[in-house]
Amino acid sequence: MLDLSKPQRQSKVGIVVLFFKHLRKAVNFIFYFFILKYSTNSGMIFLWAAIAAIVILTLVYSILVYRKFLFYVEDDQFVIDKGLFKREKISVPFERIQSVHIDQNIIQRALQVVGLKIDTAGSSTKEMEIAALPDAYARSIQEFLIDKKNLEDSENQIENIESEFEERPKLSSKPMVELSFLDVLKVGLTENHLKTSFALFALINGYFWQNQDFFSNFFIDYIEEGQEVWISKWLLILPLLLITLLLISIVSSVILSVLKYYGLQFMVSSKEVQKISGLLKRTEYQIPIDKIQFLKYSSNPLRKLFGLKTVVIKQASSKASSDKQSLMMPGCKEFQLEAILNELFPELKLSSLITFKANPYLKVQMALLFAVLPSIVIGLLGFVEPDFLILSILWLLIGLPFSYQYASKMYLDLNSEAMCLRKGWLFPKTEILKYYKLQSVALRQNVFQKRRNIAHLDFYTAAGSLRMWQLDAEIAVELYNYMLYKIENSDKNWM
Amino acid sequence: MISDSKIKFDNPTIEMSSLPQLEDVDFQKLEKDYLWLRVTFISILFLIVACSSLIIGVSSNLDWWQPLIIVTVIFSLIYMVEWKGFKIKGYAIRQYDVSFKSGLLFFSMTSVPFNRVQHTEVSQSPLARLFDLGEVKVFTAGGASSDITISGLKVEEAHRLKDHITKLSSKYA
Repeated sequence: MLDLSKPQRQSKVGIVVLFFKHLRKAVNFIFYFFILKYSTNSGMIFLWAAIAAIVILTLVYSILVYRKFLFYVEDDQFVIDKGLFKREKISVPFERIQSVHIDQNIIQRALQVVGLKIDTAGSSTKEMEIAALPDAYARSIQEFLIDKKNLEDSENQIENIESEFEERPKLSSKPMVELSFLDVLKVGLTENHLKTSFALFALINGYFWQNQDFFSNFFIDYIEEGQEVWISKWLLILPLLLITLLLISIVSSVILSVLKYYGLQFMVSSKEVQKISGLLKRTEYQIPIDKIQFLKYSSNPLRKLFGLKTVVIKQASSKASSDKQSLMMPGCKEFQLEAILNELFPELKLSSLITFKANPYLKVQMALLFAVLPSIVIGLLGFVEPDFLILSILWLLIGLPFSYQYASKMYLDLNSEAMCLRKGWLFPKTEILKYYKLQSVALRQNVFQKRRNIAHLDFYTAAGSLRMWQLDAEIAVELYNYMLYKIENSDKNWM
Repeated sequence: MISDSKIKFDNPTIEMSSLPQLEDVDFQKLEKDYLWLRVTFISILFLIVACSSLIIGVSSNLDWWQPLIIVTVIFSLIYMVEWKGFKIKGYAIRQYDVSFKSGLLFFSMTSVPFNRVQHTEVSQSPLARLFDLGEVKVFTAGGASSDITISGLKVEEAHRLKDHITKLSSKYA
């Protein structure tokens, strides 16, 4: 029987889990000792001694952290008592628990333990995480906490009292989304590689400049020797560098995708949605159905070829922008997306959708912002360096059709209960929202829009805000009033 | 009336045109003192910027009045926007929601239904204390830009409004 009234320790092997966790942070120090060794020309012994010291210190630290880490239940609160230098007592009332996750990384898997993570509603971002527990024990804690939380919830709402006696719903036996190994590979291959390689470039650049002295010592011979070659051939070298980065990006995307999404399964029950995925680290992530605020699906040119879409389910959170608060599934096929929408947004099928298009002025606005203005700025640089004039014209020629296409693909579909915002050309995305999930609505109109009688409509939810650009003002006002009416007349709880 | 509406649903349980409309007459103007508060605030800024522009004017090889002219032109524009913009600012309390609108160059109107209010707050800046003014902040779960701040209220009025909103929203909690 589960007894949490007395302070509990995690599994003994937790020391090992913690050791590796801390070691990962300590590796950075080793790297700096490495630099120190080469820059001061001290001997190998110095380096080995430093590494040994770091490893031993980390081990001692991990043991102490383990000894000081206790968890228990006290007055309807789950409490974690921890901290070596700064004692910390984190307690969370049952009803504030948002969800309880179990995951397993490779070390935990080797030691046959799992990690337990507790998400709380509210602004405290304190980590509630237990590093190592036997699987069955962790699951009984998870069940215990969720039962307690549901009990608290239903005590607060009398009308829900029946649900208290319901068993915890069994997840539907057949997953709604299941990715095969091939699907996972496709997901990796069709990642936005341009973005990744630029990010990689920025990262390498940053790391390089940070440790400039070290690297320049290393490469000084090559650089001095080939200085002329470097400068005259930069036109050749730059594309080569970009291609290399692109290749690295593709390979790393595929590896990451396999690590993260291997065997991805998505299930829906009457109470929650759940995702299980990962090769070395099996992660379970669930969101209670009531907490879902909106759903977003997107694609990119490569994924369109394979008919793949990325589905993101957003849940209520104090940190709306944080990705950790949403459930992401890349590589969903059309019929799988359809099934998810039927299950989670039956409102969309309730009646036919009416479609509104953004006012044509959006094209002018987008063209000005993303094609004409940047082109003028680049053109001005042309006074300094004539090459920029060509770039300026090039930008304009490419930018105009892009912004035109983007602006002509902005739609708002809606019926009496829910709405879809569709936008984007190469990277189309669709956001789906039920009116009663809205927190507030805003209408925005600047002087230019006032002259043309158009306005933006902003929709605020507990998981972030959405915007419909450049609606005709009469329609915007009517929708504004309608949505307020729908929020005010809904007795459904938004979470 | 029905033909006025541009939106028609398949299963109309309600007629769009019969919906409550948020109209200009619903909105209450802010206290005139609030305009003076803003003018005072801008004037203090003006004073600081004008003094520093004078110093720049004297110490550089420009004529001493040249930077001052530019600053004065910019600030007279700011005064004008503030003056005209004040007429646009207003708040509306209806049966089920609270709204605020503002903005001459960038107009915005936000409504928060009472069943979505998280909490409310009265606050008062040091300058506002001189004018006996306060503001009511209405918080939702939708993040900072979805919250409403009703500024330019007499302090007693602000407290009264806060209690009113709290009372109406607590029915849903």
